Amino acid sequence: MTVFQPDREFALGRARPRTPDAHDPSTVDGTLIDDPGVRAPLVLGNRDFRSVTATICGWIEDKTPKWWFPAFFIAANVAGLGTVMILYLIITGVGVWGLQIPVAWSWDITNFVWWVGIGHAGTLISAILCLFKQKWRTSINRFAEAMTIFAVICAGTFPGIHVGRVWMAWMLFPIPNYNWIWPNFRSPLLWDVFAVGTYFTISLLFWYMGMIPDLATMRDRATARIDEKVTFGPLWAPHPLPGFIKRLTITLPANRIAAYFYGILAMGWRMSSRHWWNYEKAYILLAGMSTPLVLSVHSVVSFDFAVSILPGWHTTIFPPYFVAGAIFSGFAMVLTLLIPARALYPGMKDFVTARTIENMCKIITVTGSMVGFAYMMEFFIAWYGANPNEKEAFLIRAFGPYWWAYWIMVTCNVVSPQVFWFKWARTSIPFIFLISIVVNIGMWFERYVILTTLSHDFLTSSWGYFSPTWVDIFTFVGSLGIFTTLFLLFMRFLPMLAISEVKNVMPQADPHHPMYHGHGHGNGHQNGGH
Amino acid sequence: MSHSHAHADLALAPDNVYLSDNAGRSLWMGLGAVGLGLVAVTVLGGITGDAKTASIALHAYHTAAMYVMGIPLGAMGVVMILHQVNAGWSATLRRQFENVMRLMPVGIAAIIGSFVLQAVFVRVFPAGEKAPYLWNWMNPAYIDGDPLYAAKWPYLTLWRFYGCALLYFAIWMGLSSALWNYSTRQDADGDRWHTARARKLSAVGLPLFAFTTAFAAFDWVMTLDFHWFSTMFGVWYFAGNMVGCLATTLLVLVLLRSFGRLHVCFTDEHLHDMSKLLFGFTVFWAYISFSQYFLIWYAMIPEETLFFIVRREGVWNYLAWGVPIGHFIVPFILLLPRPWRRKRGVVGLMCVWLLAMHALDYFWFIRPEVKGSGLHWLDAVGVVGPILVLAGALVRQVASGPLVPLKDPRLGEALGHTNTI
Repeated sequence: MTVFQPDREFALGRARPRTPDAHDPSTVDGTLIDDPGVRAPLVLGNRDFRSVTATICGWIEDKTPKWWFPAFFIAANVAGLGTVMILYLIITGVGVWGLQIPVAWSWDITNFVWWVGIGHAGTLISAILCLFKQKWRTSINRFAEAMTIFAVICAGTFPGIHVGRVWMAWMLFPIPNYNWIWPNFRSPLLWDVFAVGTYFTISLLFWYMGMIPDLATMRDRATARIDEKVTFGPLWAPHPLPGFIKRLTITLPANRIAAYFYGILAMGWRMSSRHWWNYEKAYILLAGMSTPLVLSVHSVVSFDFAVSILPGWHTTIFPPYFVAGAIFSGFAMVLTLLIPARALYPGMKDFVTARTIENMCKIITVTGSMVGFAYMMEFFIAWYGANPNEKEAFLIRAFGPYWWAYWIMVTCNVVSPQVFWFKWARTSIPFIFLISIVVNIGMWFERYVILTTLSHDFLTSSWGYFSPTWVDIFTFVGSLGIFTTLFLLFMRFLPMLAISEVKNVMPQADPHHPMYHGHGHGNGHQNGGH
Repeated sequence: MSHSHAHADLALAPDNVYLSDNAGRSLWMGLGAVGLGLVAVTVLGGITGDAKTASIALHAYHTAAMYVMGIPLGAMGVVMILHQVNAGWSATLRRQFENVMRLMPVGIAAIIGSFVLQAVFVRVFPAGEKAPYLWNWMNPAYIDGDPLYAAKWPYLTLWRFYGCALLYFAIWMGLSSALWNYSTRQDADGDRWHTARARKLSAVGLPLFAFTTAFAAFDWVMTLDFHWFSTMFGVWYFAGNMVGCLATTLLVLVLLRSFGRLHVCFTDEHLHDMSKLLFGFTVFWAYISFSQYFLIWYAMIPEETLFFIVRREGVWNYLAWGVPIGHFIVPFILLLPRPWRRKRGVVGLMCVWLLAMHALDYFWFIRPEVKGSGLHWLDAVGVVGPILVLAGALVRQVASGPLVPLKDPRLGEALGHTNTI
C-alpha cells in the first residue's frame, strides 16, 4: 500500500474557482471550458444585481420590440384558425377528421401526446434539476415552465374535443349524476384526466409561486413610475418637437395599470426574510411534488396504449420510454423557443450562455439515445417474444405502408441527436436550432407511428390507411398558433428569466465574495427589489 | 475563506482519510472464509441431495451471483454519471463508489460460478427434463419439441450466451479498471486532467453500460424461463443495482464516519444528499417494478402472466407482497422526513434493510423457477454465502488505500457542500 501525503495546498487551491479565460476562442463566450479545476461562470458580462434586474425587467418595460407585433398578429390568426376548426368539428362532428375504422384514433391523440410530452421539460428543469442542484437551470427554468403550461393547455384541448359529443366531456370527471353513471375507473383514459389535471395544477402553482418575487419587483418598479411625468407632442409631429406645438405632460396610465396588475399578482410580497423562508420551503416542496409527476404523467399517457393487448402497443418498457421521449421533445421545444429569444432580446446571452445551450444539447442526446434504446428493445423483444402478431406489427411499422413515418422517426429521434457528440455541433447555434426542430418533428412522428399500428387490423379485410383531412391538419397548426400566442404574451408581460434565482447563483450571492462585503451585508435581497 | 482552511486541514489529515494499517484484516478474512464456507455448503448440499435440491441450491446461489455482480456494476454506473455531470459535491465520496466498483472481479467470478456450478450439477445428476439446469433452454430434454425454443434458438445458443458474457465482462472490467486508474493516478500525480479523461471515457461508457446491463439481465435472469419476455427487464435490473450500490456505498460511508474517519469529507449534508439519492432510486425501482408487473397483470396475456402467476403461488406469494412493502413502502416512509435522512443511525439501518430487500427482490425473480418447491435451508445458505464474500472483499478494498480522492480538483467544492433547505 502506497501512502500519498494529502496535499493541503492543492485542496486549498482548488477550493477557489479560477477565472476562465474569456479570450480563448475554444470556450466560445468563456463558458465552454473543459478544465476540471474551473467552474464556468453562470452569468456573464460582469453584471451586478442591479443590472440583472434592469435587463430582465427592461424586456417588459421597454417599448415593444418591432418584431413582436407581426409575430403576434400571425400567431393569433393561426390560433384563430385553430379555434374555427374546433368549432367546425363540434358543429359538424368528428367525421370531419380523417378517422375511420380501423384507424379510429389518430392525429387527435398524436397531438395530445406530443403536446403533453413537450410539457415535460419545464417541470424537469425546475424540479428535477433543482433537486440535483444544477445551477445553470436558473436562467431557463421560468421560460421552460411557461412553455410547459402552454403546451399542456394545447394538449388538454385534444382529448376534450376528440370525444365526439363534446358537451358530454364532463363525464370524464367523477361527478355523480342522476343516472348514477360513474366514469370507468379502470380506463387509462380516465387516469389521464387525473394525471394531466394534477400535473397542470402543480406546474401552474410552481410557475406562479416561483414568479412572485419577480412580480413584486415588477410591481415596485411600476409603482415608482406612477407619478413619473412624461411630456410628448402629437403623434404626427416631427422630431425634435418645434416650439409652437402644444406639449402634453401626463403620467402614463399604463404604469398605474402595471402597478396594479403586478401588485395583485405579487400578493403582498415584501421581500422580508420570513417571506423568503416560506418561499424557499414551498419551492422545495413543490419541486419534490413535481418530480414524481414528471414521471407519472407520461407513464399514464403510455398506459393508454400499453395496457391494451394490441401488438405493438402492449410492451412493458412503455412508461420510462415515454418519459424519456417527453423530456427529449420538451428540451427540443425549449431550444426552439430559446434560441430566437436569445438573439432577439439584448443581454439574454449573458444569462443563457453557450454552456447552458450545450448542456441542453447533451440532455437531448442522452434522452434521444434512451428513446433509441427503447426502440431497439421493442424490436428485439418483438422477435424474442416469438409472438407472430407482435413481430408482424413491428415489421409493418418499419417496412409497411407507413415505412416513411417510421424512418422519419428513427432519423429524427435517434440519429440526429447523435451529432451532439461533436463539439462543433453543440456550439453552432443555427445548427442546434435546426436539430431542435428536427427532434420535434421526429417526436410527433413517434406518436403517429404508434397510432398507425391500428391500420393493420387482425383481419386482412379490415386493413386501412389513414389520411388526414384538411381539418386534421389545420387543427394541429391551430394548436401551434395557440401555443405561440400564449408564449408571445408571456414574453411581453412576464419576467422571462427568474430574476431572484439568477442572482442566487451569481458569485456576489456568496457571503464570502469580496463584492458582497464591498456593498455591505444583506444587499443580496434588497437589490432584488429595485 | 477561513472556514475552508480549517476544513481542508482537518479533512485531509492522514488519520482522517486513511484507515490504520491492517485495519479490518481479521474482519475481511472472517467474512471471506465464512462466505466461501457457505458457498461450499451450498455446493455440497446440492450435490448430496436429489435433483430438485440441487436445482434449489443452484438457483439460490444464482440469486446471490446476480446480486454480487449487480452492486459493482451499479457503482460503476454511478461513478460514470458523477463524472458526466461534473459533480462537485460528491468528490469526497466518489472513492467509496470506486471501491465498490473495484469489486467487479468478485461479481464476474460469482457469475462464472453459476456457469460452473450448473455444469457440475448437470453432470452429477442424471440427464432428463428434471436435470438441475439454471437455464433450462440448455437442457436438450427440456426444449425437445418446444415451439418457442424453435422460434428463439438463434438467441439461445451456448456460443452466443458465453460469447456475450465474455464481452460484458471485458467491457465492465475495461471500464472499471480505467476509471479506477484515472482516479488513483490522480492521487499520485495530482494531474487534474485525469478528471477530464475519466469524463470523456464515461460518455462512451454509459451507453455501453446501458446495453450490456440490459442484455446481461436478459441472458442471466430473463432466459431462466425462456418462454417469458419483458422489454422492461434491463431497466429493472439497472434500477435494482442502483439501489443496491447506493445502499452499500452509503453504509460504508456511515461506518467509516462512525469509526472516526471522513470528518468534514462526509458531513450531514453529504449524508442528506446520499439519502435523497437512495430514496429517489428506491422510488425509481418501485416505479419500474410496478410498471412491469402492472402492464402484464392488466393485459392478462397468458404467455406473459404465467411468469408472475408462478410467483404468486405458495410461499412466493408472501414475497410478492413482502418485497413491494419492504423495498418500497417502508423505506419511502422512513426516508421521507428530512431529519431522519440526516441521521446516520436511521440511514445506516435503512441501508442494511434495503440490501436485504434487494436480495429478496432478486430471490423472488429467480428462485421460483424451481417449479413446485418451497423454501429450503439451502436458500439462506446459498444467498448469504456469496454476499458475505462480497462484503469481505469490500472491507479489504476500502481499507487498502486513501478514503477520498486526495487530489481531485473538486475536493474543495465537496468540502464546503451544504443544502440550503
